[in-house]
Amino acid sequence: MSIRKARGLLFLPLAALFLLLVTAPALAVGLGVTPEKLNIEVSRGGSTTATLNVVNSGSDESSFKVYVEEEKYKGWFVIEPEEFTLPAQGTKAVEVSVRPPVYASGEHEARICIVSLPPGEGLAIGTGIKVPTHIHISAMLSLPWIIGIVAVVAIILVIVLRRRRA
Amino acid sequence: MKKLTKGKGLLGMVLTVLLLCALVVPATPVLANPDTSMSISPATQTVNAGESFDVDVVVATTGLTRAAQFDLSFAPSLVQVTSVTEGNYYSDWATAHGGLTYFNPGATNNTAGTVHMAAVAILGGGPGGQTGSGTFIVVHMTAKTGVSGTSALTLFDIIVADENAQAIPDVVINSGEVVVGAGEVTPPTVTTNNATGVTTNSATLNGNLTSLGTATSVNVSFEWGTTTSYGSETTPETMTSTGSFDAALSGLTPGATYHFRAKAVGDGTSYGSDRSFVTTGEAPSSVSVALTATILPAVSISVAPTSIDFGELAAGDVSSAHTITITNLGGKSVDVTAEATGDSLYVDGLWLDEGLWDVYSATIAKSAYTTTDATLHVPEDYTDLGTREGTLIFWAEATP
Repeated sequence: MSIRKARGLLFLPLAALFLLLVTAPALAVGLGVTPEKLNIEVSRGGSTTATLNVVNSGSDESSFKVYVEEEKYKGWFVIEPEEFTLPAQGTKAVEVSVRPPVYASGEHEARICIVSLPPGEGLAIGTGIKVPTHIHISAMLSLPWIIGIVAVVAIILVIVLRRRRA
Repeated sequence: MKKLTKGKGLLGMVLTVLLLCALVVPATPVLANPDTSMSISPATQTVNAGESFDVDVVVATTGLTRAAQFDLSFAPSLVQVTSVTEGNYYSDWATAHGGLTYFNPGATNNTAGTVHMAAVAILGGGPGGQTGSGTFIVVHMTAKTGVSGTSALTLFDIIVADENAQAIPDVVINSGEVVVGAGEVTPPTVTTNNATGVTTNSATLNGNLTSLGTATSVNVSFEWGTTTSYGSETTPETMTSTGSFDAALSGLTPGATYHFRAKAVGDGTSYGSDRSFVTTGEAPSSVSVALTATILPAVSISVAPTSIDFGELAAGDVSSAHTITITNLGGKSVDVTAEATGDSLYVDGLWLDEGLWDVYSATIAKSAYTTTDATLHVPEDYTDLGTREGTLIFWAEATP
C-alpha cells in the first residue's frame, strides 16, 4: 500500500469523526433558578408574592414543573405558572404567592421544587432544584381582617343601640 | 491573452534555453542583414531635468521573427531607468494566433547604467512570426534633477530570433541618445494662511498659491486633522494663475484643536507651513462606556446524558456502568441528591456508584462537575418483561 493511499484511508475516518464531533448535539438537561432561597413575611390572614426566575440551561427545549414538596403546605401556595416549556437558554418568571390559613402562625419551612424532565426511553434523567422557603407569619392580623372585625363590631353596636332606644 | 512573467517558470525557462541555444551559434563574420534591425525610438529626444520619458525599443524586419533580446547602456549620472515594460509588437501577433508571450524585463542597474537581457518571445500560436516594425519593449526613464548633458542610449548584445528560433545574424543596431537639461522643472509654491470663520463645528481654511512653477495649472488643496499627521484632505481645486484659495470644513468637534497646511501639485508637490485653530465651545466633558454583565442563576446544574438504555438484561443480571456527568453552572456551591421513580426495576435496582440511588449525595463547587456511574441490578425475583421505564432526577440545593 502506498503512503498516499494509507493517508487517504486514515483521512476518511478522521474526517467522519470530526464531522460527528462538530455536528452532534451535546445532549444535556439543565436548570437554573434564582434566588437560591425565599424568605417570606406574611401577616395572619394575608398573602405575599415572590418571584422565582427559571432558566433552561440545557441544550434543548425542555418542560418544567413547579410544585411544593411538603404535602401540608401545598394549600398555602399558589404558583403561576405551574407547568411551562422553555427553549434552550430560555427564561421564565414564576410567581409564588403564599397565603397561610388564618389559624397558622409562627415559622414554617417548605421547599419549592422546580424539575426539568426530558422525554426518553428506558431510564430518563432529569434535573431538579429545591428552593428552601422560610415563611414567617406575623401575629398581627392583616388589614382586611382588621377592617372586617371593626365593621362587625360597629354593626353589633348599632343594633344594640337601636334596641335600647326602642 | 495571457502573458507570462519571469516568475511563471517552466515555459519561460524553456524559451530562455532556446534563446541561449540560439546565442551559441558561432558568430561568423558575415555581412549585415539589411532586412532586420533593432532601434531606439526616438533616436534623439530632449527632456528637462527631472522629467520622465519613454524610450521605445523597435524591431523592424522584412522576414518573420518570434523573439528579441537586448542589453542597453545609459549615463546613470543623467538618467535613470524606472521600469521596463512589454510593447505590443509580439503580443499582437500572439493574440491573433492564439499564442502568448514570454516577457523578461531584464536586470536594471542604475548605478552602472545598464539594462541586461530584456527580452520578449512568442510562445505557441503555430508556425510563423511577426513581420514589419513595432515596439517590443518600452524603457521608462527619468532625467535627474539639477543636471544637464547628453546620455547615449546604446543597444548591444542583441538577439532577434526568426520563426525557427534561430538568431538572425548581423542585425542592424540603431542606438539613440537623450539630451537632458534644456529646461528645469520647478514645483509650485504655496503658503498657508490663518483659518477664518471658526465656529463650534466649522471653519474656513485659507491659502495662497504664490507660484505655478513650470506647470501651466496647479491643483491646490488643504491637508487637515487633529494632529500634524493630518489624515484628511479637502477636494483639490485647479488654478491656472497665482492667488488665494480657501476650503470650508464642517462637522468639527467643539473645543478641539485642528492642524492644517496648504498643498499644491504641479510639476512637483509643495506644502505650506502648518497652522492650527481651535473650534469654539467646550470639549465634551464625558464619554459613555457600554457596560455588560451576565448574571448566573444562584443555583443551576446540568446533567448528561438525558437517558440511559441499559440494554437487554435478565433477572439477577447487573448491567454495565453508564457514566453520568453533573455540572454546576450556577453561582453557588450545590448539594446534589438523587431520586428514582417509575418502575420498581429502577426504584429497587438502580445503583449510583457503590450504592442504591437513595444514598447518593455529592457537593459540587461553583463551575465544577462530578461524575457517577449508574448500574442496574435486576432483582432475582423480578418477573416483569419488556421495556421498563423510569426516571432519575438529580436534585440540587444551594449548600447552606
